[in-house]
Amino acid sequence: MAEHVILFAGPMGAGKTTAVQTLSEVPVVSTEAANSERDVVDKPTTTVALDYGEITIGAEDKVRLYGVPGQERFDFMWTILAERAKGLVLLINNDDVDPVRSVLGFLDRFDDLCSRSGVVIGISRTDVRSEPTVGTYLDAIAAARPGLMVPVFTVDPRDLATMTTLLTSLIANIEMRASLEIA
Amino acid sequence: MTVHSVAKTASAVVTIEFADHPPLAFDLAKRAFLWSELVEEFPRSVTVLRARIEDPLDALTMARLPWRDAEPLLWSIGLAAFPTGSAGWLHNGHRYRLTRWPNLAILPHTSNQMRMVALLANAAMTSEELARVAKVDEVEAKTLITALSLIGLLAEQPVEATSAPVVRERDESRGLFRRLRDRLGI
Repeated sequence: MAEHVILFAGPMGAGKTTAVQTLSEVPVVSTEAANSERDVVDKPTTTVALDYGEITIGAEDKVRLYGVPGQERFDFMWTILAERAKGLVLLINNDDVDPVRSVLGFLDRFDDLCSRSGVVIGISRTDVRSEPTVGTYLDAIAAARPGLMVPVFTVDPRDLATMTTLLTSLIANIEMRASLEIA
Repeated sequence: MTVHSVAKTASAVVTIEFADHPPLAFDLAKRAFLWSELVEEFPRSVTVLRARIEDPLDALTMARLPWRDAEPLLWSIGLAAFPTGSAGWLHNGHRYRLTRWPNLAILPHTSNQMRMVALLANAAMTSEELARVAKVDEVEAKTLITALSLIGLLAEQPVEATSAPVVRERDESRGLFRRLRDRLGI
């Protein structure tokens, strides 16, 4: 059986655990623990190792969905999983302190995966704060990473339709790029 | 054509008056619009009475108005406005390439449209080349290029200035994208 690993990364509170739960066809295995950084994000628990969900396609393929912890002290997990990953879903909460800087930081941390395969960005909590806009993120990425064209969508991690669009856009971009001889 | 002309105008608020529908205002700088009806209710065919550039409004008044993101409206118009797919402002013999992805999470779209967007994100193509590579009807490819162009997401160059896309033949029905979309019932 072929395995396709998709990583869900982003800062604490962006909705990674919820996104994996929304897409997974099996109950998600989560490693939540009491949040010791409630001054950063006010939620009772947070992911400390990873979240795991999956989508099975026939008898041949399994899409493995890994949500990795948002805090940088767990970044050794990012490296381990990124080596196996087919693509990256980067979730950013728009009401973060500096969400644009956060996006650019995560793109740097996952530079190899972004260059080798593909990345899609989902901006969550735009209902809480409407700025920055998608255009602001795109302008910042274009300035910092010329030549890297990343899909940036507004998403609700609880909503299956938008999360499906996010995931399938990532796969489409990876496969269409692979089908072309890029000059 | 009126909407395209308006969208190309310099930064301003432009009002378009229709024969049978309420007027629609575009804030060209913010790519936002005001309209009293739903995007889904925008008619496939309208008679434009006139379009005019409004006097500048003060920032406070502008901020209080219920502006909506113009991308869904322009996407809807671009997909529906031209029966042959191709808008008058597009050029035969030009290749088109995406400058940024449309926000597909808020735009109704098909699997073929998503695949074509991904292709244009990775290579410049004419509508014929896009149709051939994506294995779709050329009208479908032209229609997508029209919609993306109307939103302002495409760069274009004459074919002489760009290289034709080189495609690796593969069985797309075996690809993960197709099977995942089938699995998710899309």
